[in-house]
Amino acid sequence: MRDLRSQEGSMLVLLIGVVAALAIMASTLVMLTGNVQSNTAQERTRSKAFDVAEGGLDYYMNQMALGWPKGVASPPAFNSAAFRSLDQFNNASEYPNPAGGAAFANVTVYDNDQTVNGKVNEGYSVVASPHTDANGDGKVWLVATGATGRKAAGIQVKVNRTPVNTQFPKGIVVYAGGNMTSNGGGNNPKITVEDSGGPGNQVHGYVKGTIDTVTVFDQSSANPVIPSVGSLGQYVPPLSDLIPDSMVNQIIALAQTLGRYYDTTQGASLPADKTGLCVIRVADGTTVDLGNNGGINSLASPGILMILGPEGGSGNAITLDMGGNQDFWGVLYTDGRFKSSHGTPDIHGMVICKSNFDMKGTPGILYNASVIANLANQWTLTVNQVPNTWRELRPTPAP
Amino acid sequence: MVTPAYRRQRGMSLVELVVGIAIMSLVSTMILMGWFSLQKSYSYSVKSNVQRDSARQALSRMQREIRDAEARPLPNVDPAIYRARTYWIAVYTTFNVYKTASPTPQLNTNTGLAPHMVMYRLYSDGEIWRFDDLNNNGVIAGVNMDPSHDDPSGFNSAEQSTGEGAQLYLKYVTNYSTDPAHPTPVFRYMYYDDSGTLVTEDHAYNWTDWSGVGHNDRSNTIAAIIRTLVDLVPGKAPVSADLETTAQIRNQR
Repeated sequence: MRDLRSQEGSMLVLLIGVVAALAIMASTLVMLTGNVQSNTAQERTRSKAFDVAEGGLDYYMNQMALGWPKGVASPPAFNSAAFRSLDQFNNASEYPNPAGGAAFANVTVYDNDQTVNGKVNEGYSVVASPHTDANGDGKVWLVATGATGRKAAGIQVKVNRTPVNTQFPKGIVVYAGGNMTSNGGGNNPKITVEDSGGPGNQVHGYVKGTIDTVTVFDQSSANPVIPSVGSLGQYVPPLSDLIPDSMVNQIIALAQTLGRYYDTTQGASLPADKTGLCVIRVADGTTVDLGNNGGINSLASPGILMILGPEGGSGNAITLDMGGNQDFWGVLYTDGRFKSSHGTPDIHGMVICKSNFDMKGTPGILYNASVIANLANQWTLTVNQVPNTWRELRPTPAP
Repeated sequence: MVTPAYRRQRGMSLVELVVGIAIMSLVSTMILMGWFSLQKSYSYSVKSNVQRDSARQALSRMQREIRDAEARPLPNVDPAIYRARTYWIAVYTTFNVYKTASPTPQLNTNTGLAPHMVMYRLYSDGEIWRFDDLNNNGVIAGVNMDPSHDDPSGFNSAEQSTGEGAQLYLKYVTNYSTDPAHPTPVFRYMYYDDSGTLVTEDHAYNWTDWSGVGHNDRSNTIAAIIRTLVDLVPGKAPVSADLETTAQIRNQR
């Protein structure tokens, strides 16, 4: 009876069997769920890496609009710190840095200088193509990479630059809204044509008020300047017919976009660098000195320098002064008066002033059609993708 | 006379046996019911997990492939989307094309790395198949690509074995089979019509109206909305996972 009693019941065995089966099922389910979770997490990370790459691409296209890499040694560096600080990407737990110290995002520029299937300037070479728009056709390839966690993504696209069309009128060397004076008349003519832009092109000089001598205009050479002086009964169009306010406002807006707008009446300092596009607002009565010796801009890269009065103000008694051997290439525009105080400064392009035009010393005001033409290609309005060039690259190996 | 030893060996009465059996039956039934319930729950969890995962992966892959759609270059120029129908889509794409080490990689040329046609189609058996123009001749052989052909019940299931590059992509898709009278489109398309209005339709095509004016809805399609209803427990009363994503076609935006 003792032996029989010791073998009584099978519940323990049954229980162990049930618990074992349940344990196997539970662990299988946990593994499966973990696997699915892992797949989902990987998919999310891959998607985030793609977002980083595409975000970097868009960000860099915006950077390029502010500094298209033409005629420079290297393109604008991808501003990774600023990109990382964007609201979308500044959460390090959501977008962790990639393992192995790889870049979170980067963009590389390749010029479209390769011939593909007989099409010139179609492709690029990762080993040979320069990292700038060396061929100057306004198109480059961008290769963007993004990486977060253990996933990476790559995108390539060709982008096209749309330049700002400055639309300055051709054939005007000078416009003075007030009077024109030229001390040292023996040195006339001072207003001449350097490049008319082609045979038969006329170049005009306008003076709304009086002039002490019209011999300041070169009227006898093969490329003369045709003067129109209001006090002599000649027709002088209103400045707004030649340079409408909308054009001035467009240039101001462009300068603001490029960070080249300085309103000294609102606390900004007068910039030392006046090259390229530069718009400066000053208080009435201010004299802005362009310096004495050296050069501002060039034939290939001319600029626009605007000296304006306070917003909503008159620009009364503002003076733009230039002297010594200074050279300026581009368009000078001021709400006030232009004065060359001394020396032999040269302005290649066009000068517009709403007030008096006073030439002391022996300045040269040289109309240059190439300068005006080159202005139309200096600044970038937008950078757009060329259709059917966007491709997601095969993901680079995870770091 | 009953000795103490005999008394100790006395059996159960019939009543005690019946009661014991009843209790044991009840307990066994409860245990078995619990066990079956656990098994059913386990089976559901496993199947639905697998189905959800498969559906999510398939949708993601489809989205990425369609997102990369790219117009076919010269000499056979064609918009990025070749067919935009309710239950099938055919696009030219370079998704996952191997990045070569050639000096001009990833170019839009008509050889090697040119976009090739890929098609996704839902059949009436609830399966989505992917087809691939493997020889890049602009045609997916063995598949009816007539644009008027857009009813899963009319698709020839033999295409699943004869179609070029045929691959089973996703099973148990119920967009059509649950209620053929009121099916759910797998693909819808967003395009700007000729008046500039953004339109969402379950098909898009280039057509000419009665006055001879051409409309380029397929060429102007900027996104494909992909929606799949996936049966999580095949063979049982349908419980569907409803997944939707939008593939913005980067080369047509």
